Amino acid sequence: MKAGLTTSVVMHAVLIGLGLFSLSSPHSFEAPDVESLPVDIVPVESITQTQEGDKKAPMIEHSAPRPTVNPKKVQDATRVGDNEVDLKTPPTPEPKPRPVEKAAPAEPEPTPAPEPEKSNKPAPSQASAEDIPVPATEREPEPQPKHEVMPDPAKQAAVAENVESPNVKLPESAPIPEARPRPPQAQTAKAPERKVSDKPPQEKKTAEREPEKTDDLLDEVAALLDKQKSSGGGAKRSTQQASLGTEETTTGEKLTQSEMDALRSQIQRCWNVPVGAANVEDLKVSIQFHLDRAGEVQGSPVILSGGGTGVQRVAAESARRAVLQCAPYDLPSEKYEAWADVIVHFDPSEMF
Amino acid sequence: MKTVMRALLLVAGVAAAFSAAATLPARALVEIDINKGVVEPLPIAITDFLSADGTGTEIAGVVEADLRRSGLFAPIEKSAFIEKISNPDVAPRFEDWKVINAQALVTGRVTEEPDGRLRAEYRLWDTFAGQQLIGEQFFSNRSNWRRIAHIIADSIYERLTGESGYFDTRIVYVSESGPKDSRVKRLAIMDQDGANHRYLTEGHTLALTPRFSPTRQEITYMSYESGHPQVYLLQLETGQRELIGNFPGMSFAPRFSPDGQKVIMSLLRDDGNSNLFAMDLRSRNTTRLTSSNAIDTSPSYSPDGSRIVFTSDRGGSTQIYVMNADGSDPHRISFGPGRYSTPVWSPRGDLIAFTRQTGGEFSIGVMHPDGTGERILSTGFLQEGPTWAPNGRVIMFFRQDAGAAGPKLYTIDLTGRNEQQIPTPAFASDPAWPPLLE
Repeated sequence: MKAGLTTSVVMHAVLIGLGLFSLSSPHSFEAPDVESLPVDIVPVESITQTQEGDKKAPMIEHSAPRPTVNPKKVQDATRVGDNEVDLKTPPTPEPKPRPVEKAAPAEPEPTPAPEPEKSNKPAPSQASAEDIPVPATEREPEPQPKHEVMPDPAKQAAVAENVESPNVKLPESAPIPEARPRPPQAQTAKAPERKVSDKPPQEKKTAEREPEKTDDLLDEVAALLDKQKSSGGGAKRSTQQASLGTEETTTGEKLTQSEMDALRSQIQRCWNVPVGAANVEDLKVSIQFHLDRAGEVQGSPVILSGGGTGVQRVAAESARRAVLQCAPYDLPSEKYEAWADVIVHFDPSEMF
Repeated sequence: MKTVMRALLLVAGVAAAFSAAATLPARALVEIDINKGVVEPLPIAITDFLSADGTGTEIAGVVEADLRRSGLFAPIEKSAFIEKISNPDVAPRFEDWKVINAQALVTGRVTEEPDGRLRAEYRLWDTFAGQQLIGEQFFSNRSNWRRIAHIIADSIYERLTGESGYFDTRIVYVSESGPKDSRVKRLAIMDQDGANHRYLTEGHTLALTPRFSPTRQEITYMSYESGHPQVYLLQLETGQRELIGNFPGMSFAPRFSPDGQKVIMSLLRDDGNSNLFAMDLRSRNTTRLTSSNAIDTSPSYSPDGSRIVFTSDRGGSTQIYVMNADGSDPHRISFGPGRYSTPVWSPRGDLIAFTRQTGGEFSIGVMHPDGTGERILSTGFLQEGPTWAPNGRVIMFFRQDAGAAGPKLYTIDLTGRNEQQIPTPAFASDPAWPPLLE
């Protein structure tokens, strides 16, 4: 009896294994490509629906993303200017001669502006590595570390000193920007957002250098600002244990017909067909490429079929050139998973 | 045994769970079909080749003119270039060239060797792929610099279109000058871009229908020297002429066979019939190919030498017929409106070019050797005499516009695009390209 059971279990396991790894899913029904009206047909199926969570966590009943943790507060930078010792109170900017004032910020401004940008970038990433757990979702508050590190005029003043022309007397120490911008309202804190919000504080700094702004005005402005420390600011706060899932919720969406047509027309206008070939079969090429979120082609496109020598090679190169030239592609970013990998079949036989 | 069983079941269960999770597709794949694109000349940037004495600039200029005239390339103005190439051997800054929308880039250098020869080297780059496509160098006499430029243009053309280039070829044609009632017609030969022009005959007598030999540097043509039309052979290097066979009556419309051994022509005997005869050049034997009571003329061999296309009016009107090379099985292939004449078989073998006359208009067109797929490329007041470029891609013909004093040479692409006029010192007619690449 035991031998029979063993054999049965083993044979079942073999069958199941074979079935899992050798049988493929049936071919999907290919709808013929037609020039379509702008009607959105959204399929109802959601084959790859996944919940948001943590890949390594066990499955629990209700979905829960990775729990958020408030980042540790970082102390304000108090060493400003050329001082070696921390100051208790921020220094006040000296009034400067007016005519020089106009000329000076024009030059040093652009250079310090990009410099702190660069210095901001490595600094926040360091800060984030130490203090902040890697957010599971991209909606985690990224400006959080930026605020702590950005008011670091020590570097900025150093750069300003370097580019100073001998005639112009720049302030010995740059003022601390009293304006601490609120955490941005937008919940999707991506890298471009960071750059954008870097700029207003820079401009505020130049404004504040002007001696016209009296201290009263500064006080008023300061009073308007919310002096609260920024809270987590994240959209998703969860204190539950994370459950099984992937980084993002995907709903298994496919591109709609009009979106596929949009992609087709974007590539089509760059495809310079080598005409006059004796054999039209030689011009068929299939090419696969990978897109990043911005629609740019990553890596180099791979020729799946076609190519070779002579006219076939020329056809393959014109297909590849078409794909590379028309990047970046304008596709809905929320469906990125659907269009990250693209295969294009070029077939100009209808043109002849 | 029970624990073994349990372990097995547990392993099987976990494996099933894992494989279920693993078959979750991480990303979907988009597949699209693209069935039409644009047909535009390829934007290409041709930088001046580096040289000490300006030869590089001249060579680059000839290359650029060749590629532009072919209609498949659009050379970008040099004033738009961002990067200045100082060393053609290192990779250029592709971003600078992508910005001006150059899809290909040509850089090169011309230097003089110690023995006085010219060394020309060039590289062709694909800017979007960021790699070199061709790198070649040539040695030649200084006087041959134009040929080097044409050879470079041929290589670039072939690499970027997949078809062999035709820039390193010469054209022989009939140059016409003088008033209409006493025209002087003499043979002339020139490069396909109009350079290096020289006359082959003096012009005392009419010389017509010159045709190149595919294998040797010789031309066959018809001349009225002896009082009546006869077919002659002219050696290009020596200038020596000889009469091909001394036939009674008139002989005209000569053409070489693809192997260069035979000349096929039309002979008009006293009975008023003109029929096709093929003469072997070595043995001087003639073979009669047609024996109809109609006018058969204007023969042309297929590139493999197995068939002949010719004009005949045996059906009542001038039409195009195809027969085997031994004269058997002549059958008509032109069935459109009007009269068809001057058929020429393409060197690629896939098309026959012809002249069609309907109403008061002449048209140049192509059709398949079985008569299907007839396409008209160009229509005009008075135009005829198509000849194929050796790559089977471009057709040259001559046209006289209404009211003009004489005809001029024109080229047109196989797809009907890019009609260009070829510059000649005087009026020109009846051009001929070599049937195959020299």
